[in-house]
Amino acid sequence: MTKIPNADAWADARRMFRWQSSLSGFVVVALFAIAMRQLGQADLDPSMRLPWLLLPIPGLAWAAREQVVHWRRQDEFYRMVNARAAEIAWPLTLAWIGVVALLATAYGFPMPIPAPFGLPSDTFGWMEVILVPIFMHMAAFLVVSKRYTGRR
Amino acid sequence: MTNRVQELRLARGWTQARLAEELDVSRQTIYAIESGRFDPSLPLAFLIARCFGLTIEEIFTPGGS
Repeated sequence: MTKIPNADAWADARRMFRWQSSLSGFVVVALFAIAMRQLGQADLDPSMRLPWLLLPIPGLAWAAREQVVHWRRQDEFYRMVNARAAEIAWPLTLAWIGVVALLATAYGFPMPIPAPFGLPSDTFGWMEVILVPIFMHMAAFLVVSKRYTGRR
Repeated sequence: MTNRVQELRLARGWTQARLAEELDVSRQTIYAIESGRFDPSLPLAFLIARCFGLTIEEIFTPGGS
């Protein structure tokens, strides 16, 4: 098989890139971080709870819309790769939810993580619960994509 | 399904990127079709056939991997 020139790889990346998608991702993460920080304050005024809860909604709506646009721009090959990746990632995600439910029942939530070597201890909270399935889906996509486009 | 996409593309001196552009698909789609790992949909097969000025049967053959 012929080696793929770097220029072609960049052309592929440019074909799918939309700055709005990247920006919406950053905005939604930033709004979530601000809202979670404020909602986590011990002296939070109860009347401010709803405004902080609503803060990430516009960002989420934008990111969701960008995701739809991204899906619609994909060609049939990538739709197929995504479908195959979902076949792997969704059962793993369900298994992950089951494992987290078991652990949360046993240790409470957020779960304390013992820190070795004198490092500061940490907790296993919502961010970790959400990030793991996202990484699972990304990894499944990369594996399936590689299977169909990797050199023989 | 086996196909002659790579042979026909090279006969025209086109890169995978050029053919992808002609068909409005990603270059990986062309790569996956040429390597026999992905069978295109009927609409895309018609587009490929029209692009090379041939019929689908002249490009794609049933059987194989």
